Amino acid sequence: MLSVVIFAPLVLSLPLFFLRGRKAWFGYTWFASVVVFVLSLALLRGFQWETPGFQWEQQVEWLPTLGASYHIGIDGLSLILILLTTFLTTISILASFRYIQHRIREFCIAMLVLEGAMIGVFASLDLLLFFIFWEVMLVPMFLLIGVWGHDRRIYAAFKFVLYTMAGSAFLLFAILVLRLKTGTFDLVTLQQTVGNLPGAIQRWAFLAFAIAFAIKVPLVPFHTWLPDAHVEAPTAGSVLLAGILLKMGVYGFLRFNFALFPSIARDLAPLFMALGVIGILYGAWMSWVQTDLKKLIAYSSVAHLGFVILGIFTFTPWGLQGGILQMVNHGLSTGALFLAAGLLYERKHTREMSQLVGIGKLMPVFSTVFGIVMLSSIGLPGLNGFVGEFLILLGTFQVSKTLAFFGVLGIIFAAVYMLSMFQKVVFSPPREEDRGLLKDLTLREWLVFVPLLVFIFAIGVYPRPFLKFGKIPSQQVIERVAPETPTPTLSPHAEEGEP
Amino acid sequence: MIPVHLLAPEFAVTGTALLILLLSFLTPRRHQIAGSITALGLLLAMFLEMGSMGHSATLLMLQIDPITRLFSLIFILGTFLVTLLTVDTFEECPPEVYFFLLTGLLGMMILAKSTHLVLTFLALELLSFSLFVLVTLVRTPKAVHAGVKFFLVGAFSSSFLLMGLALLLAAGGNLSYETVFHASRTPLGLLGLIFLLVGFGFKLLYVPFHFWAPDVFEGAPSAIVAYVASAPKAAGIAILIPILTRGFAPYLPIWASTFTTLAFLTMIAGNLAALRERNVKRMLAFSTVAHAGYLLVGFATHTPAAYASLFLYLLIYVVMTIGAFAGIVALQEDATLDDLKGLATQSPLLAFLTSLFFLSLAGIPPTGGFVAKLYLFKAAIQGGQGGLAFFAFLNSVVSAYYYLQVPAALYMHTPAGPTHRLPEKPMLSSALWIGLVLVFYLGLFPDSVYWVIQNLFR
Repeated sequence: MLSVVIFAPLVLSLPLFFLRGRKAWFGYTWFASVVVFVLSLALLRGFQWETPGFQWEQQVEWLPTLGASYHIGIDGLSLILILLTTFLTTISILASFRYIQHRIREFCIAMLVLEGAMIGVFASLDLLLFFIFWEVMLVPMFLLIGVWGHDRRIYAAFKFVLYTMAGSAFLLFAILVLRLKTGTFDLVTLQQTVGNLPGAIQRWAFLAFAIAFAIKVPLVPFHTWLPDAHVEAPTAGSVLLAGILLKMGVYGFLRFNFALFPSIARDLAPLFMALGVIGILYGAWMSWVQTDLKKLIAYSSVAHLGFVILGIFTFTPWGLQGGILQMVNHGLSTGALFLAAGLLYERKHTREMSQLVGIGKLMPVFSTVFGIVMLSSIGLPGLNGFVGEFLILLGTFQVSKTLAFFGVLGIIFAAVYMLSMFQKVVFSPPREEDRGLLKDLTLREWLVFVPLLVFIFAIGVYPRPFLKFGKIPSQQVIERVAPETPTPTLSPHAEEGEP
Repeated sequence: MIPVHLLAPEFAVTGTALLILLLSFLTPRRHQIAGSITALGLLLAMFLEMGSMGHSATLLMLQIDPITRLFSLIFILGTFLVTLLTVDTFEECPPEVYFFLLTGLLGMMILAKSTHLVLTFLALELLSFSLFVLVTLVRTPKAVHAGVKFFLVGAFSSSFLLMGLALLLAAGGNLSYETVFHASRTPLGLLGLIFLLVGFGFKLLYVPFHFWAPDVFEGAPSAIVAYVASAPKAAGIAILIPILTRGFAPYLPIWASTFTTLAFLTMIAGNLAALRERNVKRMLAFSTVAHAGYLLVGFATHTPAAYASLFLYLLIYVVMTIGAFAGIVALQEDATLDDLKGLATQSPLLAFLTSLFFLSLAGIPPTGGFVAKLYLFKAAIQGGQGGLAFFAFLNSVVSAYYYLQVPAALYMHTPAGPTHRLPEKPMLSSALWIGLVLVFYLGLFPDSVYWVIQNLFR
């Protein structure tokens, strides 16, 4: 079943070669992505929420001389990210109907291939298989940015690919070293055997993995590809970059670094938490000075991912749960923000906030939606962002009060830059010549935003079903990384004091 | 009695070559017919070579065993793909082009099977002379320039080989591999081997003997360059493996450090030079140098697994290099990156296929290019060359920059000039499709081939 979900997008992209006409291509691709979404929902059926370990597991011998097998399986963490992937792909294809004007068929194929590779990344339990999906995903994203992006798209596309590949070089090298020292690529087996390796090898391997994933997240010294890639990408590309690709970095930390090298992760946790906090503050600061709407959102991603990293490296139930939930939240909120920016770009062909004025008067309905999304990104109680950030800060507070203080500061800064952006764009007086250009939401755009809003509210008001996904994975991380920590008396679910 | 039937593939190639020669007198204008016959002859040779795979024998000066047969198969496959390419590339060309492709192939096949240095030298010259003629076959000024340069470098490297041969003869008394490897223990013999190494360095394009490649590549017709860049490379490796592994066996420590340095320099020289090239053929010339560097990693590692991976690498390298050239030929002969801009609009399918070959060269999974590097560098790490392997990984990141320029030019730019429909080229397309299937098959299931090779190199 899991294999079906991984390969369905690839198989479903084949009929595109035989279809003709933009309506057919878009319509079909949207339909295909909905099918994949429904298929991925089927993974929920019979999912054992309380059982540790992997489910929907499948293992087929693949490269015996190398020792790699086609081994896939998911736990709650993978599952929620797969669902996020299929959900956001559906949305971003729907949002591209007007945005993408040329090479439509190629666009549709790239989107579906990308979707398959992303699902594959989250489902792989074999390091080599993981690496292959991780690299395969580069090609469609390279094309998405480079073909359908804005003016500096080619520069951005190359920067994105080369940064990721540089990280991949470290990753693959470490994977091969682990393979030679332990005799397997299999994650489940490695978890048991990797601890017997000499400390130095473990440390180097941890660092090599961490560099690859930190580039993807991105953690602050490795983040410079992000603003270019996010800004230059077309809307669908930005949404998936922010919504899914960045999560792969975090996922890598959770799935590989923590599972394979728990003690090193524990030792280096202060470093990563500090980098996370630096990311929060730096991202907020950079967002504040931007005049380009997409660039602002891109830097806000750096801040949000800083929160996620801060959360998962606390190794507390709250921090981890919050980090996992915040990944989803960021995918929804930032995805929605990029969609909003794309929608404005389609109408006005600019991303400069000085040109985008008077939206509130001209597009009242859109402004409301935009406002809700913006507030959820800040972390307003009652919306999704709050729950994640609150849990992360709770977790951080247990570990380090100083870092928690800076984290809270980050939320305040987020309010500053987001609200000032909103003020500039929405509450400024409209210009006469924009009246014809800036039309309010169409039916299709409603369809794009409504599902996102539903989840933004749902997670904000009643997060429990969504926290279920991260419960066992975060418990397992804690068991491995910090076994001596006393089991917390409070279950992370017990204290959601939400309105 | 000499089991002559084991030489059936060689006879098939020779027979086809003679048939082509005859045909070129009868119908000098219709080179397509000659091309088709060549392709069929090569298929027959491939079939014969595979048919008697299990038999090994020593025939006069020829060693016939599964390893040399597999090398021959790579050469035949490469020549076959190039033949398909050639048929559709040239409007007007004498049918002799196929004759020289076949004699070159014959040279390579003997080269791989030879156990005597004189025979090796003759086979190498047969190959080289075929290549000289092929490069200048279409007499544009550029091609003649390339041909002369190629010839001079070839003659120069042959002089090194001859000098090496003379020294080894002086040291050992005769030139069969057995004696030579024994003789290499004396200083004179060692000097002879070093001369051989330099001679092969020119043919194999490793630093500092690589400088001639870009000019030759630029001047010659692309289909011919695809040939020069692919199968003879594999032939060079096929002779280096026995000569160097056995000849240099007494000098292992020095050997490893020499090849580590050579690999290091060759990779980086090729890649850095390729970064600046806008002419696709020159870029591919330097990329060939870089790939020679990766291959040298295998020599520096010097384990059975490394040689087995080297073989897999060669197979994939030959297919994807010819594929990349085929794509470029099909889109635009003698293209710069600017000429390729926006061609995906005009010929979407060709652009797609070409891009896949370049992705494979860049080593992006699930293509063969990735698997080739994966197996080779894994063997290198295993053999204690971790640092070199890591450096090779970084190099392939650098190489991604220039390889991806081609898909970027095809898809991301708008067309520079007016577009026109390309004529149908059925043979060329079939070469592309065969290459594509092989690249993906080897990329996804390399073990089906590697399994066989691994057991042979044990």
